[in-house]
Amino acid sequence: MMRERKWYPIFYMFVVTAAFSSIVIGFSALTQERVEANTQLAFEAAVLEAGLGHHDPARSGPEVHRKFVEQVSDPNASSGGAYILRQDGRFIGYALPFEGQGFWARVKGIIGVEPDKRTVTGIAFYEQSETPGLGAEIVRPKFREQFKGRVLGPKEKPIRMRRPGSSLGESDVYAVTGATQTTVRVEEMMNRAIRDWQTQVEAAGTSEGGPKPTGGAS
Amino acid sequence: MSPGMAGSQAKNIAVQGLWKDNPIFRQVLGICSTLAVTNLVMNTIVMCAALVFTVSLSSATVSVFRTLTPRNVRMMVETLIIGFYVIIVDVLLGAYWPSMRANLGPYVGLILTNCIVMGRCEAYGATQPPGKAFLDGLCTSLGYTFILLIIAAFREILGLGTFLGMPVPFFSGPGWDKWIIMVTPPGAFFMLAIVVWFFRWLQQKQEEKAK
Amino acid sequence: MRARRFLLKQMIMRRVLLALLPCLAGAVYFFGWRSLALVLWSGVVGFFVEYLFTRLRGEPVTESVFVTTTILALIMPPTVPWHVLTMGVVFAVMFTKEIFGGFGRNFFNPAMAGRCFVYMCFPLAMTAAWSPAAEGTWGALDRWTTADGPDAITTATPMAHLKSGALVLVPEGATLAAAPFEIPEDQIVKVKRLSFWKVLFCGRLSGTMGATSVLLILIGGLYLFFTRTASRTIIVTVILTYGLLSQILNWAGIEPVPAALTVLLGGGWLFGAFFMATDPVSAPKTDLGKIFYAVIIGVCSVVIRNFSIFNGGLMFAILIGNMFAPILDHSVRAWTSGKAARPAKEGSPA
Repeated sequence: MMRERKWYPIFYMFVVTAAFSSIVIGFSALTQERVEANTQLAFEAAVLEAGLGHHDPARSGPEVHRKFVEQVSDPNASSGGAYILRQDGRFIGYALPFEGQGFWARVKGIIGVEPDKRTVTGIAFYEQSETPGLGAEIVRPKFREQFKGRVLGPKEKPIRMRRPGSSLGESDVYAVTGATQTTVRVEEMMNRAIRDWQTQVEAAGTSEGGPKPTGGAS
Repeated sequence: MSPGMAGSQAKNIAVQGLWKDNPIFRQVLGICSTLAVTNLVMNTIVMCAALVFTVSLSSATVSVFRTLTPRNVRMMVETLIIGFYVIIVDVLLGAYWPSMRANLGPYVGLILTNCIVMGRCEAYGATQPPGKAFLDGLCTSLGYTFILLIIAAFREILGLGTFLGMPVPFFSGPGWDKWIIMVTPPGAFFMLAIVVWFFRWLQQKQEEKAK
Repeated sequence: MRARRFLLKQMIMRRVLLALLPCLAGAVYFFGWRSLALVLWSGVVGFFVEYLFTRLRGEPVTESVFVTTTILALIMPPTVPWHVLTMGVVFAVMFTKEIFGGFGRNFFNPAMAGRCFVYMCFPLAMTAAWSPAAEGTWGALDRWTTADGPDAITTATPMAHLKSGALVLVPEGATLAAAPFEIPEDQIVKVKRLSFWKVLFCGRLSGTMGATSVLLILIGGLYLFFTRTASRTIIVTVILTYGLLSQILNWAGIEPVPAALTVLLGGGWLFGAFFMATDPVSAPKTDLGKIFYAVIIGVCSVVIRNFSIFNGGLMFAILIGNMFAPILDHSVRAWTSGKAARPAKEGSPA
């Protein structure tokens, strides 16, 4: 009887592991492409949403991708790391990626800025794992819509998140209630990205003798 | 075995899994996921569906292999089979429902360590025929599901004023001061304690009546 | 049939209630009669909840429940909504006391746990609406509440401003003698240190209902101290640890730790030290255990108050201390009995 042999358990483990693993590997290879497409699509949707300043939930995946290819071009030397958005060939704004450590894991998002480099068109997040109902409220339209039309403030803190109920300046938004940590970290990562970007576009602007950055205060 | 006897056996398995030996309020197993994913009803439903899938199929699969598997590598094979199903769920979610996978975070992968799964495979799948093992896994995980849904419903309504993301009258209005603690893990501890308390009390009453 | 005793007399608890009277009077004087109504209401709710459980066990309601509810009400902001206070009382009595078996069997201080629960649950109601203390000789004795109208609400207490840096204490040459009720955002107000201490001592400033005035806390607290109702070891050790550690960190120039007197006088800290850390049920029973317990509380309050996002460090510190109380007692007893067992000539420990 084979089952009583000493080598049987090893042989059995080997066969069983090989069988199940190959199924899993095959399965995950089948869906690999789709997973990657999903990640890419989430990013593209976020860029469009932040840059164009409106959310269009009805758009399907292929449509988002087509629109992205049509309207968005990759960062170049003068955009300071931000994606460039065009509409009918006309330059309509920057989409600046930012990321950093959130409360639980990394948060990645996009902030859209108009060609004047000061007015925000919108923000969107494409990766986050904050607490549902608390920190994760940052992805809700209620929080994100506040950013539209805000003006980037002084360099130390271009965007400020204020406690709900306080009075807001032109570069302030209300923080998410009950999610102090997420708020503080998102505010920090966003401002860091904006600062770096501003420095880079200014450097690019002066070296090329292009238009001076507007709103000289910064 | 007559069909009548099979029926009564099936009923017996169902009563054990759903009520008498309920994994949450009797065995108090699988509590980590109870605490982690129950702040939104939608997350809970998906998590429970994943668990139902994993428990019933892995228990049945363990049962299929039970005569072939040597005793000394039994646990390894069980872990392998459970892992197999968990990865399938994870891959499926990643491919077809990425936002939900992001919501559930690591907890889908952690089904592997959920004591209920291993418990059912060891206690039932390893000794009983596949059909019964499947039924046992199904009922036990449904017993887990219904308790989690109760907890999640309370947490979402009290903490966010919504149910399945839709605003609930009164609770979403200004007259209700949302209980923020219900959204965070400590709120789950309290809800779990109250639910276990309530169901044990109910069981106790039932047993007293039966005497 | 003989009527069962309805309420268990507890002399210690009566003394604590007596000691709380000055603070209660202060609450009414500074913030209006609503404070008294809140205290009475919490007593009624607490009694009812405890009665539900003690009836099952066939025991009388203990008077300690009124100590819990009174303390809990006094450490709420004067603007606390009724439902928040009610929730806090229900939680305190039911979840920290009764489900563990009632008086003497709880391991967390019920008032602290109740406050912690509502603090986590309703952070806005607990931290973002403060009403001013009434001015004038008669204070708020002619009023229901000082929180009338939207102007009479501020989002932070002077102690919170001090932590965030909006309020700075200077020895001399300050623009203001007392802390203003409201500080506009992005402004820094300088206040003379000595006059700020004076205000803290009298208690005429915004803060929790019954714990703004050091004078009133001391009247009640010293009564407990001298009648030995509250453990002297705990009171002295907690205050020493907290004061010394704050002062040392302050001298070392570590931001944002203020000088010892400011933190000792402010934010109802002494109230906690006298009335809550000394709770005979949730504190250790052995003398050495009490010292360790008090040191844990002192150190944790310094750390939490200064280096976390929370203002009220003492609340968490006491809960952490409570958590360690049983093991402290256990280790101290094991240690002393071990020490006594080794030299055989000594008598066995009690």
